[in-house]
Amino acid sequence: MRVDPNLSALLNIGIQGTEQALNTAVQQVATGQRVSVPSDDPAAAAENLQSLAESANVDQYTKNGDAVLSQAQMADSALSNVVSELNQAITLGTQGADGSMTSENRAAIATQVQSILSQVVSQANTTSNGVSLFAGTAATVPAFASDSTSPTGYSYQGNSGVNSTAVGDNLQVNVNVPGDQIFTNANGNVLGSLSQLISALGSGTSTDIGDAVAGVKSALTNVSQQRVIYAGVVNQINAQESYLSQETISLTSQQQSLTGVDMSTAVSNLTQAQIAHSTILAAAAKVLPTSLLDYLN
Amino acid sequence: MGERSGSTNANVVAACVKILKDLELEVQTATNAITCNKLMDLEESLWRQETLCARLKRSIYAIRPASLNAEGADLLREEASRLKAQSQIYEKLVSRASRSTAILQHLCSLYRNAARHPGRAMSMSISREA
Amino acid sequence: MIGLNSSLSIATEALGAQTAALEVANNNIANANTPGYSRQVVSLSSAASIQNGTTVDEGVSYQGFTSVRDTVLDMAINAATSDQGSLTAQNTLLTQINSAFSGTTTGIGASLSTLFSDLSALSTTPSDSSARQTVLSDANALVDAFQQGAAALSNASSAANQQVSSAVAQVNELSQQIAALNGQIASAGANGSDGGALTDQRDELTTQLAQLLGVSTTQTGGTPTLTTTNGSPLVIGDSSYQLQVTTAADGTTHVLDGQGNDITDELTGGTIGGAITARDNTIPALSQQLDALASQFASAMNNAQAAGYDLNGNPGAAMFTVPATGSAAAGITVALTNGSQIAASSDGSTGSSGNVTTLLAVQSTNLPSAANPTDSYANLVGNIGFAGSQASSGLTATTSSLQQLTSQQGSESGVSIDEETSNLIRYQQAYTASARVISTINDMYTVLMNMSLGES
Repeated sequence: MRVDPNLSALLNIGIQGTEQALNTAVQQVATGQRVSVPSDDPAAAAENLQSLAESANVDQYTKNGDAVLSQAQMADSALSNVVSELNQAITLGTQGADGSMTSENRAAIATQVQSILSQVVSQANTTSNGVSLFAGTAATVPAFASDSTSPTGYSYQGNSGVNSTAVGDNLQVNVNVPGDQIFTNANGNVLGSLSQLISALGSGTSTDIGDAVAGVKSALTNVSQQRVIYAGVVNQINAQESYLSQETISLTSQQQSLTGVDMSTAVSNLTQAQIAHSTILAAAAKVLPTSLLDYLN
Repeated sequence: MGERSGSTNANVVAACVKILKDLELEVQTATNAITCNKLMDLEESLWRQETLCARLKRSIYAIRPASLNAEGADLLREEASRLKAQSQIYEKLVSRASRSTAILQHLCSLYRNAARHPGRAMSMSISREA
Repeated sequence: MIGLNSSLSIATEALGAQTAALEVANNNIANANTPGYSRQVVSLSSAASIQNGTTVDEGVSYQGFTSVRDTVLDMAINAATSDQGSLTAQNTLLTQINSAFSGTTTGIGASLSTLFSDLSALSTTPSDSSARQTVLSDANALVDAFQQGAAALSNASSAANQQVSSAVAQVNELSQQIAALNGQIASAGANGSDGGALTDQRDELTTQLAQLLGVSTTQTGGTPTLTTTNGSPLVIGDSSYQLQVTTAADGTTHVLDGQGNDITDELTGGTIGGAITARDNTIPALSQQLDALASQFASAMNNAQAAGYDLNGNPGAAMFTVPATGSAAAGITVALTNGSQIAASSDGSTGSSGNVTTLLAVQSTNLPSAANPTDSYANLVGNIGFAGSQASSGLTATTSSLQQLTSQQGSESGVSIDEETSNLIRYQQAYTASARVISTINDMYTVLMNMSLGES
């Protein structure tokens, strides 16, 4: 069999091949990407899309957690104020219950307790971005509005709706506690008990005042319990967020291994591609002009 | 003496004539070989030609002019003329073929140089005609 | 005995033959780089005749050229060339499509993620109008992404139509040229030569045609016939049969044979076969998947909307509209005009985000196509990638086998400058030797002619 006279054509194709390999290697080093179009590695491209979707979800879980934390902290801060206000009311009520108190004294105390009631309602009407924290899912109204027909002077405008948010694929946390659960709970009615105290101070007996103070104490207990709910949510979210940041790292690493290129491998590939290309160019230079006439000359 | 010289000369002349005839045939063969592009036949014929030339030289110098008669001389001249004629044809053919081959060799190196240095203009060109 | 005149006429003819032989050699060398050029061998033979009872060499004549070629190999090369043409066409189209679906931070997948992320954000601030507006923008961005995906596929189909039209025009031109050459070759055959250079040219044009369309070549009773692989005639002897293109009702380019029969579905191989395969098989399969995703996703979201209430307490309206006919992905639009229409509420209260879970569930619930939207899209991209990598690796393999075949063809009928050169050198050496002999003969002639006679 004769030697292929199309040697130069084959060498040409060989040169194009090494040149293409060289360009690919350069691109990989420059971009850090091994898969830039799906046909580079179809399975990896598909898996990568799924992984990216998971990453996006994890990012959102973290943001949701942060939003809940922020609202929970605001709520808790309001409730902390309510607690100290209730404590004040208890102290005042206890003074008022004392038999030595005059009705003028009691009237003065009643005014102070009335003021506390307003402050408590004000706390109950805390908003975040114009939305009441304690109105359930009735976003546009204040939780408690003045109502002369109500024994407490206020009525609850909100509802008992609870919003929840996802902070994990299978983990929801509640965003809010409805205002009636905190402030007008049958187990401890903040507004009711304060109103009761004001009444008792106005026209009640020491016993009545003492009973009213006991009511306020129950209300305080209830509020403290509600605060525990918020604390629980905060703990849950903090724990979840440390898990989520782990997830982010492992997802990113998965995506990198699917489509990225290990830089040291990429650099080594580039070196090899350069050598292969130079070699074939040198071989071509040797083979092409070699001819009998040269040899004879 | 004359008869003896004549017969001796006659054999020598005859031998010389035979060589001349063989050489003529060989030159004809070579002529055919060139025209048929049969390089091997040409090379083989050349080898035989060279052998015959050497024998011809020896043969000619073996003829003593003093003993050459008219008949022998006529034979030799006739045969020599025929060889000469054939050889002239051969010479013309070889000269022409040689020029063509030289041109083709030149072409070969041009094409090879073009492959080696694709961009360079062909400064050398064929100036002689085939 | 040969007279001088006879010798001279032999010589004249010999010189003529020699000139022809050298012209052939010259031709071979000059065409060393011409694709398809088969080496020509001058066949010279002695013409013997009988004269006066003696066989006389009457010189030589050359009997024309014989081209060195292998018909079977040529057919294999044509088949491989058709494969290469087909895969090249498919690879070009699929590369286009792959590029359009290569986005990871943009594209349908990313837009789906963004939509669901921003819906999820609504769960903590459901009545926030800017958060709702963001969700609406995301829905619009997703619709854009679907439309772009559909456009990429339909653009590739259009490109395929272009390829078919333009290739058919080239096929028609080549078949006319081939028919004309067949005529010339037949004439040359009648004159005793095999029309070497013409046959080479015709075979080269046939290979060019094979790149455009798969063909079969036969000699039917001595008439060279060229047909498509399914038997539609292209060239019979010196007649060519032109193909036509028409546009079908669905906008695709169809190919008709010379009698107007639609042969589109039967064409294989070459640019035309490859473009038709991509346009009628590969791309529609991908379009179907994309359209199914768009319409099923839209339905699922619309159902989730219907399960809840918008900011005004009204039951949720459909989020997306998908056309009743035609491509869902090309025609999908957002039906809502205001962020307030997003049905986040589960009970009608303005601050409720109870229905957000239902809306979000669309992301992780299997559509009728048996995968959730994210996975459906990932599968589609995987299919696009697979089709692309098949075409590209197929092309590499075919190019490699075509190289091998061409290389074989090359070593049989190609021209080696080295070989020609070494022959020439030997000739020169022989001529030099001849010149020496001639010189000796001349000297001997002089001696013999001037031989003086002795005394007899």
